[in-house]
Amino acid sequence: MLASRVRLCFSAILIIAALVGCSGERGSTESLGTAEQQHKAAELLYKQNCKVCHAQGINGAPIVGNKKMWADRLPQGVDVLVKHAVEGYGLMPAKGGKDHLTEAEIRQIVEYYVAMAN
Amino acid sequence: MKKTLMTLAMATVAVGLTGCGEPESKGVDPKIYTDSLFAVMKADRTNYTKLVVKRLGPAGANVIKPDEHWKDIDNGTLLPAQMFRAGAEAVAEMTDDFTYSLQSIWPINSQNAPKTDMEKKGLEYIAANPGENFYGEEKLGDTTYFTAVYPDVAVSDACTSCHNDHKDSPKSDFQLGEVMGGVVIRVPL
Repeated sequence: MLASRVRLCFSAILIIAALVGCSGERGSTESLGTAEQQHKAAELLYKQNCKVCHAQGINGAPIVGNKKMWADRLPQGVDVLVKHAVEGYGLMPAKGGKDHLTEAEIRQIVEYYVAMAN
Repeated sequence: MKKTLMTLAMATVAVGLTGCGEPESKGVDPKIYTDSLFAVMKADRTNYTKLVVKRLGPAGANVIKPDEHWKDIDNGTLLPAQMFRAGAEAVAEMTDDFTYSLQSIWPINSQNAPKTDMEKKGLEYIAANPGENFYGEEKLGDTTYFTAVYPDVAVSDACTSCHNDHKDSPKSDFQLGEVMGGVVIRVPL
């Protein structure tokens, strides 16, 4: 009787463990990892190309993470911000003078700025 | 009565001890002070560039001519870096409470090269770490100073072409977005 109860409990534990393993937990962890990787890749692009002005507000560049400076810019949306960065806007030269950056990379950096301002 | 006296004595001691523990007023943190000064300088320089040079210069109404030799030209006006330097000179005539200057390890004018070890260290640091500031303390004579160095960046083709093509420039390959020098702010402690 006792042995059959122990077997039953053991089986129940195995079933629960298997169900947890099959749940969406692993999938969400993977996508979280990807988002984190994208964020880090964008941060690296920013540091290598844009930090020199956007960390300091040089020539009016909106400072990364400065919610006040981004408050009027965020509502314009990512597409407009990307367009401004690619074509140049105000005192900012096209692509900030970093001609080697692709539009996709600039979009990555803009999305990083937006995330940092939220 | 005895109890009241005892309580009063204890309260007096407590108040006295609390008073002794009060932190001394230290004033403004020098880093916040120099950061704030730099924010004002930066804003004024940006506004001069945007609202005067760009608006009225060749890229705008074309009624003024921003040029290094502005004094020799009709309707000539100072380049933003020269305007910045003029501000530093005007402040130096007013006060010794703080000084600021635009310097570089690649100066066109040797007068704008670093003069102290701390200035040199700061300028080298900001050139090697784009977007970062440098802070340090140095003793000059009998006074200890807080010295902050902020990056000065090539923000337009006008900056790079002027420096790269200038006969007195020790560096001729500046790129847009590169640190060309730094703003040194010094405050006596």
